[in-house]
Amino acid sequence: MRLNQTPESPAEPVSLDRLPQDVPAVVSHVEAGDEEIARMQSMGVCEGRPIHTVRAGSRMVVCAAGTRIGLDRRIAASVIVTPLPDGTPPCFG
Amino acid sequence: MTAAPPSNSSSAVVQPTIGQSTRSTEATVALLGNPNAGKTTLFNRLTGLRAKTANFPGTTLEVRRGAADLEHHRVTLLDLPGLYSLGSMNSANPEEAVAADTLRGDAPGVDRPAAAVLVIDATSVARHLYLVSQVRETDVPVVVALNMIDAAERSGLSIDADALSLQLGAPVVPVSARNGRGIVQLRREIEKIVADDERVTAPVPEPLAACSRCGGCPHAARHAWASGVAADSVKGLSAAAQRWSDRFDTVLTHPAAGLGVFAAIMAGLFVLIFSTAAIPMDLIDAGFAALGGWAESVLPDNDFRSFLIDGVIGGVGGVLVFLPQICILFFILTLLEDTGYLARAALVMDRLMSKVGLPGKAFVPMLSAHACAIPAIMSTRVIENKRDRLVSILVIPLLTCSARLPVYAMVTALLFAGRPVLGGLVFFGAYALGIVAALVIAFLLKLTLLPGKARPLVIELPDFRMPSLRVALLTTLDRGLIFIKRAGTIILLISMGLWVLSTYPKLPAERLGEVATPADAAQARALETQIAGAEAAGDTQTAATLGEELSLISGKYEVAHSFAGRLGRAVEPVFAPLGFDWQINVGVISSFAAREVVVSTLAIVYGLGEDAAEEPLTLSQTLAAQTHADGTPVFTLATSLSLLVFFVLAMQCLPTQAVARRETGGWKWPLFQLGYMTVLAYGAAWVTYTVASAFT
Repeated sequence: MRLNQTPESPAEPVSLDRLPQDVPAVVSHVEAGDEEIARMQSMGVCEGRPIHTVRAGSRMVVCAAGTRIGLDRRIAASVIVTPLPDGTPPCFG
Repeated sequence: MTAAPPSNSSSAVVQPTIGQSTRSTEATVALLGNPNAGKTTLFNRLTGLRAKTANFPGTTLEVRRGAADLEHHRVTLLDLPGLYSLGSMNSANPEEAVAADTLRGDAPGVDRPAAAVLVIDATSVARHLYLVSQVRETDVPVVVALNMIDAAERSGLSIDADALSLQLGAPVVPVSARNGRGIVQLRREIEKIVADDERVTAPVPEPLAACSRCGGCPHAARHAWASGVAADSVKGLSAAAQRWSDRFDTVLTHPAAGLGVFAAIMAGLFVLIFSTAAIPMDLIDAGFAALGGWAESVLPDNDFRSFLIDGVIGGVGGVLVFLPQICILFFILTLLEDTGYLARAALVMDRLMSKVGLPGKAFVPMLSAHACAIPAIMSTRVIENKRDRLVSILVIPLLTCSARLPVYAMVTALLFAGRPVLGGLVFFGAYALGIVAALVIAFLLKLTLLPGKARPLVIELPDFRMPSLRVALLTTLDRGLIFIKRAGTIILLISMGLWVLSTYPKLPAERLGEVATPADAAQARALETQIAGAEAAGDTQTAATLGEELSLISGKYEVAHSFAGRLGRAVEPVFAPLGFDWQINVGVISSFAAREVVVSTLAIVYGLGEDAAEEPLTLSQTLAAQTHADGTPVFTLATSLSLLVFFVLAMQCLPTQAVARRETGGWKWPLFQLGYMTVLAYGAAWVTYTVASAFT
């Protein structure tokens, strides 16, 4: 599924838990938080880095820095992403 | 191929001085990398079987040390815990704090490493460079092992190790820890650093140094740097493989299909364990029986012989018989982990387990607990959050371990001999009761003593890959040796103590007539007369056979007379509501430290001798024939089920308590665990006895 958008109107930032499956995005902001958030950031989910969702749901699978990461949706909610109008999902290079 | 950082191609990189001297003392070399980078495989490849597992001083973190031979030196290789970043000294993540302390030389009892070997996954260079960027900023000289280079090449990736080395300012050696490719070159690069008296660390390349100076998100600058370095040195795409992995993940992480796959794999795992472990278990059993028989044949009949056979050989054998199940479980779990599947299973289970306050990462320890709670409690170290880890430790002993199986087998044979379907249902019910109890207790702890939700899961899902048999075998060997050492020694001490309690004070032979029932006393007198006659006639074989019969009769009265027997009688009012008589009480008390002891104890107190414990049918037939003074049977359906439920839920394992004390840092929680499990077992057994009595 692709977000409803045109090249002239880039998609609005959304939290990662609301990013549709297979839509490439870039991380805009990560809420400062605890140990789990720091670990997620060191795994590649941090500002300016590309990301996409492999599986949505209460336990999500996202792809960042070429690696799949399993995430609780609660923690994904602390990540704000901007969907890209066009782009390659980061796990595919 | 080895890529050393060129000294003349970049002003930002200086080739470290390479000395030629040799050292007599062993230098320490730290091995570190992300989880799933193949660090353990490389450690095993470099050290072989010379590894020792111990805790970091003052922590519960395990570290493996092993000797690795270089061309002219032997070094101590330190396998640091897997980590994604290098924490500060006060990092909340213990793995990161320990790694940082070790590299700084601040870890107590650990030598500051002369070099660090950073293991990175060649199939995912960009992500692993994050950690490299942090380690390069320490003063420790670094060698980068570009592991799984064969897998990267197969997936179409081409990595320019020279370019990578230039940008990292450190030698980069492409290796495959699985097949040994590049290991010789890796050893040479480590040796160059170890042999260098000055051990000058190459300067951090300027682009990397800029990361720690820039403002904004500290992670972002490093990832941007890592991404740029990877783009310059890694060519080719593995999109097809990634899409294939994604398709697998679509099924394996699906809320319903993922659970189905998990259930099928676990069912297969247990079928495999129980079907393949039977033969080695029988062999171990037979081996200890033969050893006991040999000791009986060469030693004179006295207390020392009884102590050696019943206390020492029987005690150690009673534990080691479960070793095959534990080894098979760890072998298969290591294979599954190596494929990358267990991380998916943890994600799927997290959804369910978090509802009762357990983290998804507790599921592998809980799985291991079905072999033995001791390694299971130790493996809760993968759970970072203290609350989550404590809840997991507190409920793990409720899950059916191997030591409960003899009790289940005894009760099954007692109730449903020759009716395998009903017997199977008893086993299933006992396993299910343990699992349900663990989940309910976790939920109650969440509502009361340990409030709060389990920490949200963040877990790497590594690429699927073929598992390594070598790694699985070495891990199994490691875990098996830990089990033998830790559980075996404690059980041995307990067995020796129990032998003393059930042997002393001794019942004088002339007092047997006073304490035995009239029938037993008459039979004992008749046997004594027959033995005397046989001895007078020189028929030693008959005399020996009759002597064994006499010792069976006297044995149960001797136990009754012992400290253990007296205690069994003293607590009769306590256990009477569960349908237990004093002999069962002796079994319950004697198995306080090791639950499987109840079977051999019942065999002794009901006058069968220990050999009968190995033949549940014989034991069950005798137990079924036992009656109270009023002639009613002792082992009714209600009493048998009550006994079963009690042993499903009771702690009855001192080694587990000892490990829980070590892992929780004191006796407070292990005593709470003992208390709640005893109350739960007693209450559930009472309910079972009361309900079953009402219907029978």
